Amino acid sequence: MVNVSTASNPSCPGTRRQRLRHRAMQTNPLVTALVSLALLSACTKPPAPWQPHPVFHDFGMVPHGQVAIVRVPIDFPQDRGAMLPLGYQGSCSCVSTHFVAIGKDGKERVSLGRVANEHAVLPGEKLFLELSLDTRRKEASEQKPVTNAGNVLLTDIGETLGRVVIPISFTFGIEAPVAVSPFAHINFGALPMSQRYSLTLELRPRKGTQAHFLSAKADDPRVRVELRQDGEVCLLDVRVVPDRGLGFGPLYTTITVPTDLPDAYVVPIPVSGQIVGDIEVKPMERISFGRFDFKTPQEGSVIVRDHDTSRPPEFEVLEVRAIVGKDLAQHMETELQPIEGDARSARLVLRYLGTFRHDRAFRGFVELGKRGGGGSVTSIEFVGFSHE
Amino acid sequence: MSDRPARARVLAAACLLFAPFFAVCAERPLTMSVTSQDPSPQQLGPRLRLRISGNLEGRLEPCGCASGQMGGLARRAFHLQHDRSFDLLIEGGNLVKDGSPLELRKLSTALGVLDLGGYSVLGLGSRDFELQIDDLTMYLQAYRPTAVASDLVEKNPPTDPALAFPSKPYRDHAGTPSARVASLVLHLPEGAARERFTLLPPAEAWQRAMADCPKERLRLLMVHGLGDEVRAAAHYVPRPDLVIGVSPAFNEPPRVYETINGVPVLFTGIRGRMLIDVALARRESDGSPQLTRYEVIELEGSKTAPGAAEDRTTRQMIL
Repeated sequence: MVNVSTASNPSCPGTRRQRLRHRAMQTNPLVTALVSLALLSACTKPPAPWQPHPVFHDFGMVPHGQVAIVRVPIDFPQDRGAMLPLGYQGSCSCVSTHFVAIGKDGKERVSLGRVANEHAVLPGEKLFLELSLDTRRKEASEQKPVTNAGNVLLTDIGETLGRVVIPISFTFGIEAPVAVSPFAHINFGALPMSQRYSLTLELRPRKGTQAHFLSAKADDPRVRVELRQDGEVCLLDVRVVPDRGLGFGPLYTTITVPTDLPDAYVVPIPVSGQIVGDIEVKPMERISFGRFDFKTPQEGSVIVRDHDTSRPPEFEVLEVRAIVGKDLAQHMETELQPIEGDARSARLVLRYLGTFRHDRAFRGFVELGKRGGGGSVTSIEFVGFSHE
Repeated sequence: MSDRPARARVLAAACLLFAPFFAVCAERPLTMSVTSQDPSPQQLGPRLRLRISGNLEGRLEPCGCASGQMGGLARRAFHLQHDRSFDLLIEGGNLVKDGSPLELRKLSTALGVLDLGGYSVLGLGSRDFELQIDDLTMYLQAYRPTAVASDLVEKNPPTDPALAFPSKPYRDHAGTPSARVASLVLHLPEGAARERFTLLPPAEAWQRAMADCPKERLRLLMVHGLGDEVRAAAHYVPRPDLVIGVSPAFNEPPRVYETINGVPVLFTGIRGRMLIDVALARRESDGSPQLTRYEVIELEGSKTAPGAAEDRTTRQMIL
């Protein structure tokens, strides 16, 4: 039986009426329990109400190429014992964050963001959220000031008193010393191996400043760059030339253009895209039949085009092979239809004959070659699922 | 009797509890530098290089709530094709947000992307089991990544193996070093999943998955649960070499991993915004696992060139 004696608790000495109640509950267990609960709740000291102090920081306009770091003080309840900084949840990923606690001895500890007791901050210590804004990782373009909001979350060690949420907001803009137009990032999309991509960018120092562009360089040999002056304007010619030896795949590099601006600012211009085969497949690179009744014939198609003019234009189907499902060739029919006015293109029609009975899915590839041999030039995936 | 002495006792106990830690803190900086603590390469066995992610929650594309959001499968595919310095790709599961028909379609697309991207391991999480089990079965059968659920047991196993749920208790990775990957669902949602399956106790499931695992093989464990459930796995027997937390408790992968019971423990974050680049090896002297590389890769796009650094094929599959 729970039996709380108010008399034995000097912090809650109790009135004469309470003592009478205490005497009464000794005879009635239900009354005892109810009164005990009431007394318990009256005697337990809840944490004092605590109001978070929202924090705001204005980075101002940060010149591109610089890193701005600030420590914003975080106020936290002092009457809940050790508190764990659980993390910062923000509306953007534009800054990296971590917590720094400074002990009473003045020594710093960096919280690793782990939910573990040893990363707690104690009453009387100072807690900071360090915001690091690295503009070097951002594109070299002007960004007007924007305000980002988030919350710092803290909890007591036992997680019994509820989490503390402290609103944080900060504003920053990026000042680009050099305006790059029309794009600060060149995206050449999908470039067939036998084709070339070219673009000219304009580099212009910020109004009121003068700058000379010293040279331009790209680490990837497939990206060729050349600076030239056209009157007052500096132009950067960029060409992407696929290399058969390097094959297909993504290309990501950064063109760098050093300047004689203060801090030896270097203009970074990312270049990205994919070198793809000369066989273009559209509108989708695969044929998806979706979910349907496997007893019903279905038809799907894609248009294929060969950009490589050194090869004959005609395609031929080499094989229908399965990844899932057996002997797909027996269940599929293919046809290549010419496209009027475009000798290098053809429509590949794939017909499912409605003959699967036991499988719930099929998936495979149609291998296409060129007339005259030479093996497969492209594989077109197809997939279908039974709706049963 | 005053409560002051009692408070003093609590304070003293707390001081005693934390004193060793703060003493350690005072001695060394807590910003963990993976390389500074690593033994020299000569002391380590061969490394297994991984790219790890999890808790996609149906986010095939980055959130459109603001410009410049990270993530998206097209960016992931581009990145993985651009930087192929990995031996094994691991997706932690919870590919979908819930069991809705829209999420089912997303599952199909996500599996197709993972398959084309070369993923071989998929850990199943509780959210995946919110889908109709037959639908989940069908899509898992159609794609090559092995669905791993080490603690999952069918209550009434079908007599025809073809009708069994297509998950495995583990997935072996051949190579030098070789590895075995297990995964714990830990929590099944209410409904059909609980009618059909039961879950083994996690430590028992881990032991079952590792029963015949050769000693030299690295032991990797994914755990779908809260932080402490994940951390508890570091104490399982046999000792894991790496514990991967697929946990909603961490929105982003922490900048440093944890070490518990000598086992590196990391968390994937959510919504596929980042990848974790990890190199795992065992120290030759005592066989203890070491992460010789831990880097969080942010899958960022371009603010000025929409669609930049995205894989075209993946983009089409999503559309």
